[in-house]
Amino acid sequence: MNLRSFWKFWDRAGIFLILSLLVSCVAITNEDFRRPANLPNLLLQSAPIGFAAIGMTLAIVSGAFDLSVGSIMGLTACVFVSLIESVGFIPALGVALALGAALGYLNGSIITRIGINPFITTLGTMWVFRSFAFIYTKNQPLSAQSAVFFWLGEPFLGVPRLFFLMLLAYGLAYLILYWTSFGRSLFAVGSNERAARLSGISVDRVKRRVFACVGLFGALGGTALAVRLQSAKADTALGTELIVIAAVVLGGTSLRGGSGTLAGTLGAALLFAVVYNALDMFEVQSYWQRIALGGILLAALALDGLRKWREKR
Amino acid sequence: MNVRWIRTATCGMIAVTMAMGLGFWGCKKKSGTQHGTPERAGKKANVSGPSEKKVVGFSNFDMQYNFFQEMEKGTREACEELGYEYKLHDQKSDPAQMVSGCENLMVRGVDALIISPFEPSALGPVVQKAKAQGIPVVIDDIGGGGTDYDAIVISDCFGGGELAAEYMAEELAKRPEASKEVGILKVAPGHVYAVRRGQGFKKRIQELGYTVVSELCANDSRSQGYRVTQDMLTAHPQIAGIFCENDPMALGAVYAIRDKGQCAIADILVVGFNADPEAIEAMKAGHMAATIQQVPYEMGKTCVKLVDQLLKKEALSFTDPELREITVPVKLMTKDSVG
Repeated sequence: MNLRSFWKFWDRAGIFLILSLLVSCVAITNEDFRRPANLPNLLLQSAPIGFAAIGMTLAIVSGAFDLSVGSIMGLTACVFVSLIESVGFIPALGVALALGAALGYLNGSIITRIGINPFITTLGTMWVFRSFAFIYTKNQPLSAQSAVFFWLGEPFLGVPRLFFLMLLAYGLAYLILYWTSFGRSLFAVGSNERAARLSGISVDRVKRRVFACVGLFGALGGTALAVRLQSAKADTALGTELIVIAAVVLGGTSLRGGSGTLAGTLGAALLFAVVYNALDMFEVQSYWQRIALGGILLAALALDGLRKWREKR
Repeated sequence: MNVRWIRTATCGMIAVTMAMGLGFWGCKKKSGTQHGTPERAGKKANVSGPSEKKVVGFSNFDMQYNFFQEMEKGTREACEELGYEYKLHDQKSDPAQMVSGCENLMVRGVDALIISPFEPSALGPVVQKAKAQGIPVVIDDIGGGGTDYDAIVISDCFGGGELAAEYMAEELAKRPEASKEVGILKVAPGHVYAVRRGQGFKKRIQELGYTVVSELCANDSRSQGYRVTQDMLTAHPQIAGIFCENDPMALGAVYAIRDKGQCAIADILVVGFNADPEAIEAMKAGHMAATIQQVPYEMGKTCVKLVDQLLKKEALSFTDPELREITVPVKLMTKDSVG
């Protein structure tokens, strides 16, 4: 009983425990890491993954997941950068977000109307959307200048504005997830699709909407990346989908659906940024860096598995 | 143990560790200003005597490639020779890591930055940040992305192409049966410098009396080099030689020719560019004729020399002042010279 409520607590806040332990260990041992200029850097570095992981959390809560989010990020980043000088920042952002949501909705439509499972559908559209990016840019790098880039990167109260916007997005998603019927039905669909259908939830509509959300937040991630790089290329964010999914899972959202926390996802996105940053600061050889990321993911999930095993016994 | 106790203890642990972490951040923050360099400069003035070494940061393209390992070695050794402290970052072929890694180097307090950029078009924010802090930036190879860098060091690609043309013409002249037609496999058009290899080759081979009958893009890769070579030979079966703007494509060409039952030395002469280890192996095995060797070790050393001049406020002597380019010579490497 006691142990079980500890695990319950661990589910909600475990990631922050790991994060704060890691931050303090690194801060104590590495003087470069605790330089004041590092904090805004670190927060900025977490933004692209952080944005994209919001949509992915919603999708995984509903029991689906999306492999095409990296390609959506790449394509929307290219469209965003190519438009920014001709139409301005806000309209370009609007087009990118609308495009992202539309691509996500397309994913959802294929899944629900044609009936291909999400894994295969998004695997297919991952390649298709990536190809669109290559065709759109003719494989040329795009770059743009905008005063807004600097404005977003500048610290406000010591924290970059882009990071505040990310927190805002998390707040918004929190409201969607817990305070709207759409959000509640995500949990229902994720825990038991049949039961959700029988209780009158239009499961297909919920799925299409959640994939549109993945696309929308993916587009936010893509534009955040473009803001950081002040450029985009057809292969921008190649392979990011797996890091996004890893962040969501590490944050405590179950891949089987029905449960998940946005705060955990945010913590995991920050954790990844801290790990990358710390490895750079310690000048760890790149061959070892990927081991660190894989190791953290496996260790966190192993702990989860251990618990399930013990509960069963 | 009751539930509340566990919960309180864990909350306490989180609070304490966070407070410790933030405390470290906080106390540093009070002593310094917002940015890395002024803080570091301040620290220097307080702590160190006049003998403290200046720091050179090098953000490398990807340490898994032999080429960039050599470049890193040259950079590191030149830093040791000239008495600079050296800090390395590996971009691992990722534009986002390129930007964050360079920012991290600046946080760690470098006095000069050398970048071998994976994605030149994303250099903008890095160079602006460095300039704002008064840190000179030298680009090593790949491209400067139209930014305000201080200098860029590149291999003499055009000259290398000419060198390849001369070698090819010399070899083909020994073969009375060979036609006067040659082909070029090109890299993706975004590679500003690698594109010059084909330009140099084309100019020189035409001067030597040959015609370039086919120029196709094989997108830098071995598999596409293979496929495009097959197509090229179907359209122009009488081609006597193929110049490839990089070695992976050259290897693709070599194996396409071998699969046709011909030899990439005696029948269709293939010359590559880069001297990748695989290409050298193929040359040793007698499958490929020649390649142009870049000398990344020397490029690394040249970058540090430039940094040294920039930090001492000396004027640089550019090969091309308009583009702030400094070229490093390349070498011809043939099947005979690798032994």
